[in-house]
Order: sequence, then C-alpha cells, then structure tokens
Amino acid sequence: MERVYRSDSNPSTLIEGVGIAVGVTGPNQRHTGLLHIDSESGAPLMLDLAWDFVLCNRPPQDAFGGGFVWIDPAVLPRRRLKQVAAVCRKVWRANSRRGIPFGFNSPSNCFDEATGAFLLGPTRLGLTCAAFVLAVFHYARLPLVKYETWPRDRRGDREWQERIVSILEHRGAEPDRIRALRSDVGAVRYRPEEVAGAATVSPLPAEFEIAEQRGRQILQRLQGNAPGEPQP
Amino acid sequence: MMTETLLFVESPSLNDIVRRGQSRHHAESAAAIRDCKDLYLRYSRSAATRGGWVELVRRWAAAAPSGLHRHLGERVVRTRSGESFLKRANRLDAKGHTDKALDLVYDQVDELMWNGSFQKLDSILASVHAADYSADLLLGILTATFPGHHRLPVRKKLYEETERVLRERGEYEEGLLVGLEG
Repeated sequence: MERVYRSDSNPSTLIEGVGIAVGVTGPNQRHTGLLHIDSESGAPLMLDLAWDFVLCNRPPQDAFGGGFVWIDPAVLPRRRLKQVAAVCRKVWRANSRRGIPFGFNSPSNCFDEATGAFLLGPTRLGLTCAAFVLAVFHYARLPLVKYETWPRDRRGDREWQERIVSILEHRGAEPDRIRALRSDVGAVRYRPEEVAGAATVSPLPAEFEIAEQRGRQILQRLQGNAPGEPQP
Repeated sequence: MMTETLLFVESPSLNDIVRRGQSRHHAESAAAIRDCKDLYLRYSRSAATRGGWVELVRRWAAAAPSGLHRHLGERVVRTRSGESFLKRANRLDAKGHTDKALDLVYDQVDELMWNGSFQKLDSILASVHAADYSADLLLGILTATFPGHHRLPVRKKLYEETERVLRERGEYEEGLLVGLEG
C-alpha cells in the first residue's frame, strides 16, 4: 500500500490539502478524521466527529493518544484536495458551536434540496465518524467510495449500532430521536479503516471489496503486525 | 510610505483623501493613516461577511477620535459595501492569503444560497472573467456553487470558461474538474 504514513512522520510537511487519519480509540473501536493544515500555525489539525454533537478540530494526537496512521489521498489532484481542506474549515465554522449529531445516515445525502445548502447539523439525524469523512469528500464533489457497493447489515454492524443507540438513550437523548435512530439500525455502516483504506485506492471512488481489504491491512499496521516499515 | 501604497492599491480615491488631509493637519493625518492601515489589514485578511464588516467599520467611524478618521471610515463603508465578495477574494488570493480567500468564497456562497438569493449569485458569477482568477479560486467557486447548480444558469458557462482558461495556462490535469460539471 502506498501513501500510508505513521503518525511519527511529520504530517505538516507532507499534507497537501488533506489526509485521512485512523487510529484505535478503545477495545474493538476505531476512529477516523480529516487532517488539514492550520494556515495560521502551520500545524496539522484533525476535523473529526468524536461523538454525538462533539465535532472537534484538534491536534490528531489529542484524539488518538498513542499512534495512528494517515493516508495521503494523492490520487486526487492536489488542487482539489485543497478544496477539501476548505470544506473542512467551512464545516468547522458552520458546526463548531452546535456540533453534528451521531447517527447512521448516508454521507451522500447532506444537502437541502430546495436551497442546495449543506445540511450537516441538528436538522439531520446524524453521521458516524467514518460517514462524516465521506460526507466532507462528497460535499467537495470527490466521493471516496461507491456507496452502492457497500453491503448492508454485515456481521457486527447491528450490534455496534444498537450499542450506540443504547449509550445515547442512557445519556438522555430525546425519545423521538432514539426512536428514529432505532429505525435506522441495520443501515449501511462504513467502518473507519475502510474509509482510510478507500483513500489508498486508485482510481477513486473505491468499491467495497478493495477498500475493505486495504482497511484490514491498515488495521494490521495499527496493531504493529505488518512486517517492515510502512511505505510512504 | 507603505501605508500610502497600501491605501493606493486598495482604493485610489481614499489615498487622495489621506493626501489632502495630510497636507492640512499632519499629526491628525498620521494617526488616521495608521489607524486606517490597521483597519484595512483586518478587513483584507478577514473572512467575515461583508455586512459584518460594514457594521464594524461604521462603529469604528462613529467612535473615531477625529473628523478625518470619521471621514475615512465612512468612505471605507461606501467603497467596500458595493464590492463583490469575489473581487475581495481575488485580492486576498493575489496577496497569498489563498485559504482566507477560499473561506470567504465558501461562506458568501453558502449565505446567498441559504437566503435563496440565486439570482443575485448568478449575476455575480456572470461577472467573473475566469482569466482574472487563480485555479484555486475558480475551483473554489465551482465547488461552493455546485449544490445550487440547477438554479444558477450562468455556472455552466463559468465551468466551460474555467476549463478553457486552465488548459490555456497549462494548469489543467486529468480529474481536475471531475464532479464539478453540473
């Protein structure tokens, strides 16, 4: 796999536009977000949907604690990746105060039909961290994956989604919202490592099979099982 | 001198006012020039909406310590409030503040679309001569306006002009405009 970097490489000197970071945040739990460079400080920041209404724009180390890997989606033109970075900043400006709800909606359906405006926000049910990354690329008109190739209701998806709903319910989410979320259990789930894996594929958008395969390889690297150093 | 150059670039008429003021009241003019320079820098580097800036400058002028300050502030409001955000973005881009320029484009386009001002946005797009803009800014305009492409008839022409200009400049590459056709 090319264009996969470890966190100890210096993203600020390598990122041109955006990168996709992925790391382990807990037992059987991965997380992903978009790396971009803060034009004021020159430091890399990660825009990520950390949890329900918790949208972050922070140093990636703060999200992962330990190591992470990141992917340079350089198969896409650099100038277009610069636009993805602009979309990251736009999403942050528009949503940093109220956040974005967690949920199982499609990343390809985030626009208001009447106005064409970007609708990530409380008016929609919500996204997972991985769907959020896909939605940002989608908004920049550069879909990372072929959505229609993703299988529904894979082993473990339903359990994971039900666990999320239970936690939200336990933490006091409104009954109407919980009902709506429950009705979405079984929706297509894009896993963090698959989104990162998709970014290594050429050409884009990636189909499920290859993205899933690359995602497994990325997980191996995260767990330190891959022989040798990651190739830049 | 730097201040005068800056003012001249930004607004020749404003520079004339400063010159006239300087010849009459040197001390007051020096302070006004210094303060105006600060104001201009804040304005030109900002991604704030035009309306927000007009209000800020209006407040600045109202609280200004001298008549010349007030006069300059009012001129800033008059000059800037009639300017297209794309011209301002182009100026920011030309000064190397490309990220700020893109932020301005995305915010203003979003605001116009939220307000349903598609006709106004379309007329702004109609005034764009692609050759006057960088590839980054043209891509920003096309990306930001894509969600409203069904209601922006001029956008298709801008897309075609962008492709032509980028090819002529040798900046075109495979995939550069993919997904932005509309």
